[in-house]
Amino acid sequence: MLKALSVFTRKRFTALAILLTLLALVIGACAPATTPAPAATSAPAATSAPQPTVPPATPKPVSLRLAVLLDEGTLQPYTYVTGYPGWNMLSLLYDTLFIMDADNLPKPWVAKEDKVSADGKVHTITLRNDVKWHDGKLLTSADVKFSFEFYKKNTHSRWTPPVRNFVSIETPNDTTVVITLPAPNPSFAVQPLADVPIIPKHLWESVTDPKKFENNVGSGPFKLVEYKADQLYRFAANKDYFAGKAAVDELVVPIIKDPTTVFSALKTGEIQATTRELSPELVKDFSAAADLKVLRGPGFATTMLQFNDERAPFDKKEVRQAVALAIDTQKLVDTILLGLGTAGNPGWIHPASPFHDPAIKGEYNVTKAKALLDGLGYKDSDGDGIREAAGKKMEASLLVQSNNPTRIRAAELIAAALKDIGISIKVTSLEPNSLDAKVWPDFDVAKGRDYDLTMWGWSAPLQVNPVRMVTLVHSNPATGSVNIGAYKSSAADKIAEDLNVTTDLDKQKTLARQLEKIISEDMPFVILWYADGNYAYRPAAFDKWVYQKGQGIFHKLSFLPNVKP
Amino acid sequence: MTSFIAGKLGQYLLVLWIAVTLNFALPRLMPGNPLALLAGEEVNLLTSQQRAQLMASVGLDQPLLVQYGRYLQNLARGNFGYSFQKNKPITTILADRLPWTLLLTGSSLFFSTIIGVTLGAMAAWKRGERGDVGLLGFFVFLESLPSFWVGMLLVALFGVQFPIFPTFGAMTPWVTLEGWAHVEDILRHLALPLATLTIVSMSGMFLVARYSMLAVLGEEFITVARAKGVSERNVLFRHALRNALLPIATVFALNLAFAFGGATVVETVFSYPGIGRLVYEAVLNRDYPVLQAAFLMITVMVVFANILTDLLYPLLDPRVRHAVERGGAR
Repeated sequence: MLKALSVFTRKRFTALAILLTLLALVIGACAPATTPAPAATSAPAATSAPQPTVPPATPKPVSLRLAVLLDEGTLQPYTYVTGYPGWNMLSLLYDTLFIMDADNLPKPWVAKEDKVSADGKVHTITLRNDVKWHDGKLLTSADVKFSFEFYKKNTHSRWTPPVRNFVSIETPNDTTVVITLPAPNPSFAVQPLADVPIIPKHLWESVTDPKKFENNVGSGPFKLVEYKADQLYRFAANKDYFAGKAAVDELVVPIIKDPTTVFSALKTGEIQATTRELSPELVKDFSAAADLKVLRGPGFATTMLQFNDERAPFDKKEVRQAVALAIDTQKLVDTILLGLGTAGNPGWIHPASPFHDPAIKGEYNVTKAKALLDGLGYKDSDGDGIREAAGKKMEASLLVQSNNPTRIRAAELIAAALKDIGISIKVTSLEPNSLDAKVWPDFDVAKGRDYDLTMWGWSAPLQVNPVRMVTLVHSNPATGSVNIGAYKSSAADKIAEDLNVTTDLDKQKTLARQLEKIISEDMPFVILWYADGNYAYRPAAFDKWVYQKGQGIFHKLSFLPNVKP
Repeated sequence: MTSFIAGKLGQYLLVLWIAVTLNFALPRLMPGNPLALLAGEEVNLLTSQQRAQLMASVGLDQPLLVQYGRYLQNLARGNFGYSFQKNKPITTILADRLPWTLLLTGSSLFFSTIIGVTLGAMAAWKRGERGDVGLLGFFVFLESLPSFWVGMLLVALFGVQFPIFPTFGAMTPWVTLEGWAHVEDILRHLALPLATLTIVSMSGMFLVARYSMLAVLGEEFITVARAKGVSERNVLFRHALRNALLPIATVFALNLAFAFGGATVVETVFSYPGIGRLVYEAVLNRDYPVLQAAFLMITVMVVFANILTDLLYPLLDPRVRHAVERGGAR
């Protein structure tokens, strides 16, 4: 084709090819010498410990490769990064006094029991006497007291708030901890007890900068034996675990940063499970594959349309109700999630939760929505299809996270739906941190907000514990710490305050339902859907996953199939 | 010559200072802050006192000028600081990633330059003929392909459909390989990201080489050379390509500098532990120290590449050489 090729004689080409290959090899060969040195953070008695001579009858050790998407740092209580799956990975290494069971109820774990005084303020916790740290030392009440005090002193966003108000912590003997609270705390068993990890006093007591402390000795079912930054974590089962050895002997957790690649690797068998949920488009394909299984269950994470309840016209309850009536949430679930989810309950609580009042239902009714706006006198007087509210066109901007295609699609559909009732919406996509700076500056609702509408979502823990509804609706920023729309209602405040100090489960339920009712009428936000969790894995490698309601398959109990807390 | 270099050096120092200042200012001008990163999750539950304490722990409570002064001071001592996110010295983080980055971007630059320049020169030589038009069309087509798409296509084809190559990482992280097996493992992991990056970047080189050759081939001295009876091969290499080399060298040197910045998209698709992805994550999390250090490294490399080309020009082009010598003698 090209005569000029003749100037590149075959001999030259061969020489060049050899040169290139050599170069590539040289670069390749020198790379390993400079790559991250492994295992800077290994627990002392871990990898290199010689295995006891294995009798031939022992079953083959189970090794499982489970991918995560982000690096979780050195994976100790001050360096892990995400609530999910970071906290879950942390919980393989460290124990909590209580544990959330498959139904999300707190059950005794390292603690045998928690006796509460009649006034609800004094908790007498009895510990098991057979729990050992990975280095062989016994876990005692001194470690518990030390941990809570350490978290109080060294600020951490998740561990400090639940323990900062303790009046006192006493340890009358090695297995008893007595904690005195300033007021009854209905969430005490969930947080701190089933949430805050206990750390070994003998290793942490001299630590002054906890973020830089590289040590992973806990009491959990696994030990961390290797960490290669941004590449993988390797865990080995703790043979002396008090609840029995984990069903997986070696857990390898590679970090794969692209979700598409995660699922490719799952298909090829390079990995056998992942903490990442399968996107709805892939569920059918993966369910049909012979060597893959998909475990599906309700998800408690919410996707919602959040109003700025302070900004006109959304400061009017009727306008918010009209918006909610104009959005067909079931259709959103069908189009965007391909039906793999539950349409939003306007009262916040997931319909599968025992706290939900089945009488509360969402409604889709465009006529009613229009009537509501007409009733306010918000009419389209100039015939451009957009209503005017108090002389101003009903136009608003809807913020959406640029990294979230699902929410962008939903935002577009919502804009189209609202156009039908005469509200003009401009969808604005923003990089997440910039969006947070407008919606929730410094993550402090007391600092105000600058938006009309935004796509939003809260993770499962906010649903799991009904008492946390209080933080969602209370008008005082100190109590309503996630009330990002500045919703105000004296009725809601009152119930929330009661709920916040109610320890009785039945009374909690009654109050939660009253609050649910108020939310469903005031519509401080529109709950669009709760996406189902779909988790794909290769059953040949490991098939004992337990679906924890609303939260998924990656948690401590999946690896301890014989334990029922 | 000496005053030429001294003058240039002064310019470069000025550029460097401006860059350092911008590197300091830009991340802080973005809306949002690293509070979430410092506090971890559920930052909303912290009291304002605890928030302030966290920001103070990394010096972000100080006025910007004080922070800037400290930054310059630390920089002068070669101290790049700690990553807010990874709680590790930034020099360690960069040193961990730089070899992988250069392995990927460097070898891609190498292959794309060889392929691009060779084919570009040949296409120009045969300007307007079928081969040229075909190549031009082909490379314009390649240029328009998004790299994530090419990457995903290659994964789907050679990772999943025909599982020849691994789909992620720079090596198999869960096995310890020695010697040749280790090298082979690294090369196998390199194959798909390298192919992706080369496919999407070689057309740039092709276009530069082709246009630069075309300009030279139109010159009269080429006609003269031919008229003198110089062989076609000598005309192409000694007369034409030599003269077309300046723009190619410039683009190459700049690309070499940017190679230190990694290739974010390809690194993400293949989960390759390079600098690009590091910077991307640092931007999302407002990890100021990492941004400052990474941008500084890239800036220094760009400045360095410019110095290199400035020094290279006189060697490549006698006209520049003479001009410099005359200037120096004045």
